[in-house]
Amino acid sequence: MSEAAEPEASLLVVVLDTNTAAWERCPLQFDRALQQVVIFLNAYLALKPENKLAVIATNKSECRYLYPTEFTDETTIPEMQVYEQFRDVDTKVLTGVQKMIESGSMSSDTPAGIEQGQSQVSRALSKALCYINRGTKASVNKIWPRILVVSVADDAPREYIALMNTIFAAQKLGVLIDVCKVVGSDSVFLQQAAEITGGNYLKVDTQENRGSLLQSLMFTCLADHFTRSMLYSPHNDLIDFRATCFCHKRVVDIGYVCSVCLSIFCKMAPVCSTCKTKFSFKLVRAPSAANGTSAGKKKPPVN
Amino acid sequence: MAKEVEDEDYIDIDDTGPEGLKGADGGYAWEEEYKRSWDVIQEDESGSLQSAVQGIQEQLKRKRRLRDTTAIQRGIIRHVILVIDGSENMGTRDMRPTRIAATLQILESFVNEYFDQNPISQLAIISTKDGLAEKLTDLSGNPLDHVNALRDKSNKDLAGEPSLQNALELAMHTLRRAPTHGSREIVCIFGSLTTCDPGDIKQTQAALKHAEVRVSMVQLAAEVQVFKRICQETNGLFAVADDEIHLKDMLFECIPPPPVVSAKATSDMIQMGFPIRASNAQVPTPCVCHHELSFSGYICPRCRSKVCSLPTDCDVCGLPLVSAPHLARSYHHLFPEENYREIDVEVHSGAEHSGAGLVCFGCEGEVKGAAARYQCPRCRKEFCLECDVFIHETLHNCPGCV
Ligand SMILES: [Zn+2]
Ligand SMILES: [Zn+2]
Ligand SMILES: [Zn+2]
Ligand SMILES: [Zn+2]
Ligand SMILES: [Zn+2]
Repeated sequence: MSEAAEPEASLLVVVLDTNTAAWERCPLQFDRALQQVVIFLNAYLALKPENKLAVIATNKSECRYLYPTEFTDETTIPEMQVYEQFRDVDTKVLTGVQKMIESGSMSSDTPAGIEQGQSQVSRALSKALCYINRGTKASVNKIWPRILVVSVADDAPREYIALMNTIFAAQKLGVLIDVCKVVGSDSVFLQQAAEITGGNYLKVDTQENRGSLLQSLMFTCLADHFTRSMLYSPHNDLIDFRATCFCHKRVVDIGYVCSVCLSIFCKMAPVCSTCKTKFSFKLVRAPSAANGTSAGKKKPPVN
Repeated sequence: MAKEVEDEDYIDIDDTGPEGLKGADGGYAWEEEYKRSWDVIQEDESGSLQSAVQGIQEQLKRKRRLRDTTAIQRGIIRHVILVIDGSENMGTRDMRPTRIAATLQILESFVNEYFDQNPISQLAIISTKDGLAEKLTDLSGNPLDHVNALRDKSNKDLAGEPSLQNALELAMHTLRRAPTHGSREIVCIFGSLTTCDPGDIKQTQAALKHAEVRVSMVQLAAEVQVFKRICQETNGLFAVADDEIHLKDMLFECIPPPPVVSAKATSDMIQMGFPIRASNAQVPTPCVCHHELSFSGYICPRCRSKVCSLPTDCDVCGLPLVSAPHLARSYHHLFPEENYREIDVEVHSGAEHSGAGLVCFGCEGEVKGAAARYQCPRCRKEFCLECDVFIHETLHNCPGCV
């Protein structure tokens, strides 16, 4: 990725997790948190007039764009005191979330395999990337894309592959993924998302200080690509990319990988339990490194 | 003026009527020569790039067609040997600045893309000049080795004639120690129309076929029957590239893992190491791959030596070292996303979509009345062309299905 220069604009897509079941577990009330997110959005827009914004909300049963949308609320009278774009964002985000919660309490068409406290994060991220793909292509000037995930839900194991696909796509597009985990345990999936794309992963301790969500957002997620090179980012030294075996969910150092479906096992087995392939009974080791690059200059038989 | 450009270059591939296939000169679309896309980009009198945008749309559509998403077993673990022609013919200036310089530059992005899509595969590079073949890199899973070898200045010292037979024999020899669960492939880039061989190349061809090595070639000058036959016999691709962009397109077709057709292919359990990140030490330690001092790196779980990047093979004990995300990177080849169906706008515009555009499920962008829309056969959501291409080329997730 080339270096960002100062005057270039950003394109931020915020993925807002509105899973009510998960927010109920949070000491920070949802409406207060929402208020803080909206302040952050205004701050982001105020930084540079060319900055672009989109907000996508997700919960366990749906995933929708809150901003920008075509719908405009005619009933509100323009307030002279408020900058027009702020008002637009504020009302759309707030009314959008409200609508989602209302419809969410009655809808029951949750996809199979998603539990109460989980959200459709991979769908929201897929949509965000589609938006960014189109936005960056349509933009005449260089625009620096990034995603902020405000997450409360737990990891849904069925989302693993989809989520990994979105992470690699983000990496390819040069999209940073920042993650703000507000409640619950650390999200292993989103930690990887931040790590692989070069974004920040933050666990916000809302227990300690009720205002700390806004504080974390402002200090860590507001900076654009250019400014980030001058800031210290919160480091997560402990993320490890070791694999867990499919058979016992144990972390493995040296594993055995099925050559057909790439399932990881901690022990040799005659048949792959994922794809049912029978293995030839020989363990394959990589060729020894001794005959490596430097030794390889053999000449073939020539006339 | 804009009108003229548009008429000449706008080839509507979805128009199936015989008239629709005719270009402006009255010939059929496939009779026209491959157009350089930058020739199409011209401003019209109002200064807008309308025709250019249309050209890009057409390119997107063409990409859409090339996709193959059938769920068949694919060789995820590949062994590819790149053969580069280093003969005097590569000094020709029909590509900029020369054939060899353009080729090396494209190969660099090829190597990166290859390892991006085939993270647990291997690659080796062979160059042929003066009737000889020489290995530039041995089979290795580390993209940096190959990129560095390609950047070597001596690659641009061209000499004599190439020897396809020597190069293929050397490649076959290199592939001999590749395990049977992996694919064996050779990809050649040849500028020369002749080859200076020590023996009968037909025998090499038979040996390649017997060993189930797939040979593909991109020719930079013209079709050569001998070369083409080898590719056909071994189920490979053969193409003649007209310019740099075409060359890149042709080469990149070799990047997605090919289907497994071999009867000899076996499935194995492959031993792999998942290293942990070296903890932030107080003193820098050398890595075994470059012998340079650094604070970071990954520790081989078997021999405890430090390498600086993944994926790679441990330089000390030879264990393939990967991280779990590297394996996840290949999953989309195993579970490909289904192709979207193009929706007939005529049928649609009759009923509920009269005139009004549709909102793309992916990017929330409006798809204007007449523009094509694409529907996912599983979730029935509709998408714009841009998103369709993006979803199948890069994202590999249908936003409606996940
Ligand atoms: Zn398997
Ligand atoms: Zn190193
Ligand atoms: Zn080792
Ligand atoms: Zn779209
Ligand atoms: Zn779908």
